[in-house]
Amino acid sequence: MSDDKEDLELAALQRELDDAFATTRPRRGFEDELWLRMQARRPLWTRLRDVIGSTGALFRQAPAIPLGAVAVLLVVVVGAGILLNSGLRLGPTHNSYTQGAQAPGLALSDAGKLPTPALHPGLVPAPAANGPSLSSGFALDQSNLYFGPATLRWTGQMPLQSVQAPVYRYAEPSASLADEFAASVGASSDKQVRSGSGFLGTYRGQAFVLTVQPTEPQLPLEPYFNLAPTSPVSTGGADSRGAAATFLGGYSLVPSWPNEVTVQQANGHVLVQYSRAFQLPDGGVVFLINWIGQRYGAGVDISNGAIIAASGPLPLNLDATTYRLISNDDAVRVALASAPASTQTIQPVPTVDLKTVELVYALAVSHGEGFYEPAYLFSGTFSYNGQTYTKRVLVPLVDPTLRS
Amino acid sequence: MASDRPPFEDVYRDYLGRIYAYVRAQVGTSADAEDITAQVFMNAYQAYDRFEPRNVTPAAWLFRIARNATLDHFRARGRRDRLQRTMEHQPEAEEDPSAMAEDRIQYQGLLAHVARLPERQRDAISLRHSGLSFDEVGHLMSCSEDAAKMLYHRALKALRDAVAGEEQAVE
Repeated sequence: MSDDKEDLELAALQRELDDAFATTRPRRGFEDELWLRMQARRPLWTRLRDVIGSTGALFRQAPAIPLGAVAVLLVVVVGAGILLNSGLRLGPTHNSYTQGAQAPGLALSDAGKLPTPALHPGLVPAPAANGPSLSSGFALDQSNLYFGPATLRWTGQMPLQSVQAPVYRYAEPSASLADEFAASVGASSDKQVRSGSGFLGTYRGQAFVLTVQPTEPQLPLEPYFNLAPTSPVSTGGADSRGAAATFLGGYSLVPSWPNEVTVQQANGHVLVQYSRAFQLPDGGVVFLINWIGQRYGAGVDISNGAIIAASGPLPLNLDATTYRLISNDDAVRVALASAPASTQTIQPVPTVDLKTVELVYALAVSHGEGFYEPAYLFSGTFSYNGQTYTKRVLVPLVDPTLRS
Repeated sequence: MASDRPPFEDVYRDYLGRIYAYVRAQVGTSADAEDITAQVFMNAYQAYDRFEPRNVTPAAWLFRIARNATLDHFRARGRRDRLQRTMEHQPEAEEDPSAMAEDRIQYQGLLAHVARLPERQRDAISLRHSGLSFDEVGHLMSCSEDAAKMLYHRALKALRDAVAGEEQAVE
């Protein structure tokens, strides 16, 4: 082989290696899962240090506060901070919610109460002094979310009608149910997989492999499947949306639930997303949101014109039960008094006009069951260092006396 | 002084993907790659107060932790697999199919070839294409910059031969 030809071959291989390492990334959700696991393992003193640090900045702004008041405030803030960092939530303070009884039909968690859905920032960065940092992949639009403390005002218009929306429950699926799902897409169990790998099952079909994962409670995320062709499947020049539908249709995996299809593109990758929604008894459609308040559902990953994976929630039976919900006026009051989802703060604490509200469903899990619960997602924007940030507040609508 | 140290969250966000890709190129399954990547960042998080950015870049520091964690994994797996095969008289297991299902990997075949290279060649390729300079690769592999370059080019040729050999076998 001539030197020139060899040099060309090696240069081509180097380019391919660059592409291979640049595009090899963990599954969606892993980044947030690991970050939360790391946060959960933080020792108590480091959480205290963060809380005291942010509180100290507050005091530097107001040197005239009497020391006694500072001490009392410090105890309160530190205590609240520990509770927030521990994932605990203070109980409801609305005395008017006392007449509720547990709705029949659902096997509920501790003390017969529903778990409470909540937002948390996951890996969304705090606002930086020099503006938002750029994330990779499809996380670009997350960088302008703010979860820290803010002074909230409601300037929007609430719907006139009170909400009528049930709670949907699923029971954690067994491995045999995952097997049935795999069989329905033409895959059979692969016995080579080690036990304890965190999957409900791993399977092999003709030219594809399939995994099924259980509920991820820390995010939370419902049980989901991931199907990947053993070799990327060319879209043949078809548009991404059509190619995704054809691919899912080949496995009878086109979502049966109400959905909205969107196409997101970043760095040569395309994600065709089927945002999941629930149909209300009155015919309305309400979208499901994740832990940062974004719609999600099933998705098809396309890279450089080839389908490389599809994923989505495992089809599960849902029980629907109606609970007493709070009024729209109460929802506004709860929103304005809500604790921030993160202690990461900016100075001065921003004032945010919450201008929009959307009825959504959010997942909360407890004791081997998942509950899709109706909630209001309030949103407002503010400017910081020349950038526009969005503040979201989630208000669960099930009466607080029926939730843990 | 710790003032030059970037927030750990920034380091985590900037390097998680690169560390995962590096680990994934070495091990056969995405489940193992996740376990090792998690271990790398847990260790890094605990040790971050001692990280001194004036002496070493975040990349070199993290890849050293990742390299050690991956070597530990192979040592432990070697012991476990040998013991299991002895007990069960089983041949070496095939690649875990979950690896393909859980990854967003377009170049699975190429990375599988990388994973089959001898340890030092595999390491040189993986570190270099994770964005490290030859100087950093040499530091991590306890050799000079020139030696790292030679090792890398030898590995590149071995990889080309392996890929070409497979293509000929298919034809």
